[in-house]
Amino acid sequence: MSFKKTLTATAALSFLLSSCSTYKPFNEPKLPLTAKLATPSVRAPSSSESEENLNTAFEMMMNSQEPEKEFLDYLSGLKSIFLRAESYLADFDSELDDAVAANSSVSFETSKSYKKLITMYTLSHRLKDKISYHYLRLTDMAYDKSLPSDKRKLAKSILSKFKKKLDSKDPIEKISFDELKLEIAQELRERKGLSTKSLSPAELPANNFKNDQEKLSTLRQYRKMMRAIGKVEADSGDELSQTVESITEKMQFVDATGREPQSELTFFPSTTSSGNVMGLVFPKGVWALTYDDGPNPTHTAAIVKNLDDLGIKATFFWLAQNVIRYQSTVDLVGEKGHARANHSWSHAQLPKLDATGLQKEIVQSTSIEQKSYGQPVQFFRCPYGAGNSVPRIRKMIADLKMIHVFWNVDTLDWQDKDPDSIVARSKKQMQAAGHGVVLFHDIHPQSVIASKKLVEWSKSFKGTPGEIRWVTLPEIVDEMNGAKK
Amino acid sequence: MAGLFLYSCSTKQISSSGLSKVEKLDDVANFLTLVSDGEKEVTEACGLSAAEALTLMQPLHARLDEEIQTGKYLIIDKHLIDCEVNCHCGVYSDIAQNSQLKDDLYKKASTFPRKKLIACAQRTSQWVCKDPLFDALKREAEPASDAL
Repeated sequence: MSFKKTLTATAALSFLLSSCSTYKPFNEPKLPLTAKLATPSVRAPSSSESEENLNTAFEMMMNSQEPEKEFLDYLSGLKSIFLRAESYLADFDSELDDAVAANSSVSFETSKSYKKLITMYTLSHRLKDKISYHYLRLTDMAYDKSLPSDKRKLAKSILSKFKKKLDSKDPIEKISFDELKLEIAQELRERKGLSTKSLSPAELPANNFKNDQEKLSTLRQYRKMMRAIGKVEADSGDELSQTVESITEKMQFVDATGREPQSELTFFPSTTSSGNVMGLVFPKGVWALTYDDGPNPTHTAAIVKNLDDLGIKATFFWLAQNVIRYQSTVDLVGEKGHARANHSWSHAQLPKLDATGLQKEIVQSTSIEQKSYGQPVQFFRCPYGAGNSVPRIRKMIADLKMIHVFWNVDTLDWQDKDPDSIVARSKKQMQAAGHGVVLFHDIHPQSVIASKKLVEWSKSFKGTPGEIRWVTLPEIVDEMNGAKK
Repeated sequence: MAGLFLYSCSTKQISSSGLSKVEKLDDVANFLTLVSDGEKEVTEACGLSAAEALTLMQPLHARLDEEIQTGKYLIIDKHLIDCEVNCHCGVYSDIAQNSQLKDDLYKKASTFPRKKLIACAQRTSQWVCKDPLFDALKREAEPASDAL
């Protein structure tokens, strides 16, 4: 590489590594809890993860089914990020080469490989923060005699397995984990906690390399292989690569006013009003028909048949406990083109639950439903609407990249068994509102009849100024976000 | 003396005591449903708007579900007659285990005369506004719009 190219590449990397605080990626990605990297949510930039968030993540990991595996997966994730970053660095180097050859320059704003590097840097930085925090918490737990012995044993077991992996002899893993080890060791030495008193030197993460020369030599020896692996992974279309694509697509450099370009979208996963669809900002005459609490093999199927006959599509908010039981109904609804979303595991009152309960009702249910639907779950509705204004619940929903959905027409079909009375009530509310989201439940016979009658009534407005257009939630969100862009 | 007697009768308070918990909750549900529908016979009660009544229905729904799930209620044939007077055909059908009884109660509920529902709601309006349950529902009701 010529001196000029080397200088340019080095300058770019230095800039990358040191100046990320100057250029703020507008979507600083929130790290997923596991290195399987369930698609992280996109949120407003912040300089670092708060103590509260780190604590929440740690508690959730310890309460998960396999905390050891969850923690070890972080390391796999870190390695993945490192390898892909190497591949993007190679791409960026090529761009620079081409620019020099053409006597032109590379613009950071338009360079995709540069934006991807920034994304990987941020992901890596935040994951290392999280791992360090978890490691320190586990160390404290392992030596905290006030804790029951089984908790201390668990912490020690997790730490032991984690350290074994951290001390891997594999050259690529040595390079991937080197900085992390240094960070953890530094933190342990500086803290005045139980860990510093109780840890032996052998328990402190040690440097992977004897010196910088050895590190550089290993890097040069294996760089080509790392970049090749990184490229294969980056091109694999897996969740991480999709996330990186998605973030870099939307990435813009924030101007001096610090505007958040993401606010140009109407709806996106967020704890703010943009992350909650009620239908109040829908175009006039546009309605989303929604059904909660299924799937039910009898009533859901009947509803789908009616909607099919009437040529409209709806959105179903289901309970994971029912999804598991009625996969054929799940498949039927998907095949007919309706949208499927999440309504929790068991219809619990979410504000009454602790972190473990919420993990099951929100996180695990989403995972189950994603597998069942064969696609990511985009929308969530809290049972009884309870939790819609509770920050920790809304955050959990947004962190899973879901948008919360409320309603502005309540048919009360769960209380009222009379279909005609339900229809009368719904019509009244729809006529008053003009647009929005209608709430039914696909577990009651009266809802089957009432929703059919309601849609039939809506068709009487065809060709008039009061024409009603029924949409699914994915459709209207895409439409409104597309219009705003 | 007669005047005193008449006075004491006219100020007699109607309370919710004597009702099982689930029946009480169902009474409130019926009442709030009709308020939200704008039924003039009950809309003035408790100073509630239709929209407010709808928001109270959500925490009420949660409480009803919770109560029904306790499994402590037994619905028998007699309830098929009782419900015509107390307006509880719907909730009895939700609770009933016997499928025939469930169907029969459901049929009654789905064609229940609205006039009777209104009459039941009017009785409920006599006590519900001052009941602690009402205050609890107001505290628990969440605004529909995002509050963050």
